[in-house]
Amino acid sequence: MRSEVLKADNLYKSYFQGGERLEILKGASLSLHTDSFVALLGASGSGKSTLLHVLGLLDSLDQGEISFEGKNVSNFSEDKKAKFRLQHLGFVFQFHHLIPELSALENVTLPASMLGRDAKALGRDAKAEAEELLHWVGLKDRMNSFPWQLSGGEQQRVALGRALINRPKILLTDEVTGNLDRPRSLEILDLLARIHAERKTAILSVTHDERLAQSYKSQWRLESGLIVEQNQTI
Amino acid sequence: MKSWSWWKLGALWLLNLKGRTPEAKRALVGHSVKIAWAGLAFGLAALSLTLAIVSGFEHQLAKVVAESGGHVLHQNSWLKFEDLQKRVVLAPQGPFRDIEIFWNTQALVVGPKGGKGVSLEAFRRYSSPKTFTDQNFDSNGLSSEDRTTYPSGQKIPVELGSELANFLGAKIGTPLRVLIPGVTKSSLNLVVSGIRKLGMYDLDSRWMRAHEQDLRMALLKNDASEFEQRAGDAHGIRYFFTENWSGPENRKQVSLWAEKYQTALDKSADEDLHEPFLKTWFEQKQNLFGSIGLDKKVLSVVLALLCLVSALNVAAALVILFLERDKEVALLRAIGMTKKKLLVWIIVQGSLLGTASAVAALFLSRVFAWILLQLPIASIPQEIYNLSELPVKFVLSEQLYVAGFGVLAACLLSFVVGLGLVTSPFLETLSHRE
Repeated sequence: MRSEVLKADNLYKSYFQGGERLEILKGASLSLHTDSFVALLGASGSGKSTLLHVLGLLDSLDQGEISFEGKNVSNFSEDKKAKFRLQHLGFVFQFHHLIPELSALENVTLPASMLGRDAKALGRDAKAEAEELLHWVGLKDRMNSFPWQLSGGEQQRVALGRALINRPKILLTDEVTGNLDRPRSLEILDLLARIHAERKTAILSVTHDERLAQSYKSQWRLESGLIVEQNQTI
Repeated sequence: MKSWSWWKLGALWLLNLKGRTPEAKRALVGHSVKIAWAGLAFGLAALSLTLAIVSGFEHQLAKVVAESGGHVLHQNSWLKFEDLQKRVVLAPQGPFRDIEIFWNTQALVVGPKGGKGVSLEAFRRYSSPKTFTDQNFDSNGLSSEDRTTYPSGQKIPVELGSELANFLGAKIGTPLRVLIPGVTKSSLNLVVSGIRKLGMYDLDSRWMRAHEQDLRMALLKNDASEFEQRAGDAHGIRYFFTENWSGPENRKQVSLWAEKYQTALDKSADEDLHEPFLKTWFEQKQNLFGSIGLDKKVLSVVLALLCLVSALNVAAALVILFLERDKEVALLRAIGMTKKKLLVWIIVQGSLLGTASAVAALFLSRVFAWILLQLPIASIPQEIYNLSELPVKFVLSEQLYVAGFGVLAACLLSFVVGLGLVTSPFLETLSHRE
């Protein structure tokens, strides 16, 4: 059944740069549902990443409201936002930021360990789940490899596994294919599609690649601080 | 759920235990952190060892003082022997080894090798300490087996400190002459009846004593009027206790005895006995102990500052280390690690390392002490300290203080570094390429 997981209303965000106020978001609104698989396009500097950070509670808002499953989460304290991110959101950044001293398996298990007692209460075996995830993203034989022993595409797969370990309802990705060649980019895109289809996860991906964006169900465009175009392609 | 080990990550970061990253720069940072922690451990070890050496001297001094006789000193002015007897009979019962009356004066003594100003003490023992009557002070005048020449040879037998005997070139049986300024017009004949090693150089080089009765008789014979008028010298009674009460651990019992004695004197009908000047042996040496205690405090503060400098080096190394880890820390925060959790994690890690440094320091200090005792510098002048080697005594409470200082310093510094880290913006860090 299709239901709304994330709703953003009238978002405003500005920065001061060189003494000048730069208005990035000027009333942007959107709604993500359980079946959303959306590519967010926009010119360089249009505020795509800023929007993603704001939606992911990584950055604060000047004005507006963000609701998760009907509950306003934009007024949470910083620590509460952190806990919310840990439990309900998955992030993948352009630069994977894996911890170099930890193996692929340990990197994937990392967010589950942060849940601590919460994860124990759910009766989860984080290690088993991490192994399953790595198997699922095609790194069955590289579980004990360290990040510096993996290729760029493999590192990004590990980062995807890490984003999924706490079973988030929404996955936010920021230019995840930005550093990859075409074949590796397509592999990651394919993986995102599988995550969306098989793990029932809503996905919002920031990308500047128009061709890749066509593989998503929807393409949104951020222009002049607003989401001005929403193409339902599928 | 099988818990993923945060401790492992902490150890990997803070100690760079396993160089799993091929980046040479990070390995270098890891090494600098290890060196900084080692610096703290060595600083704490120095503090621990210094305290142990000063405590060794303190302990040795207490032992020497205790061995020289745990006693209570009752000092007062007296001219007649009976003045003291009135006081002695009021003394409460106690485990006495000896009771003696004394007077003390400055004198000039001349021996075969030369002359020297000395502290001359005249004493008389109470012959039966268990019963107090005015009849039982010894009167035979023989306090030493070597006093065979008196009274027949008219030489007063005296005991000398070993350093004084060396200076004068005196041995047992050596004749000496003594002049007591303000008391004797001409010198008195003495003979060395005993040489004592007192354990403290200052005392050893100036100490001389004779039996009070011998000296009184000799003085009365030669300078009777001057002797009766002598004033300003120290006079008194010493109550020596048996070994059971002589150690530093029995200070309280001795003090209680002194309080009882004081009460008895204060309640006496004779007003001359009121407000006596009483001091236990430990109180008499308080200045000396106080001086060593002060030395210890000053050294502790100086070395604690040294440790603080080491700890600041650790802090600087931690700052560099976490600056190197800024992206990983930013990632942890982006994923959902709260500021509080991150701060606690850093503090716990830092404190654990501080604890490890402290434990290493305590071990190192013992190793250093052992090495020090094997080296020639550990030998000290026997004649000054009455010791052949450096005394080292590790006192548990002091060692705990050193360890606690190390842990606390590491904890506070981790807090400061952690606070800076958790309040720094992380989003920008994540947006940049590694």
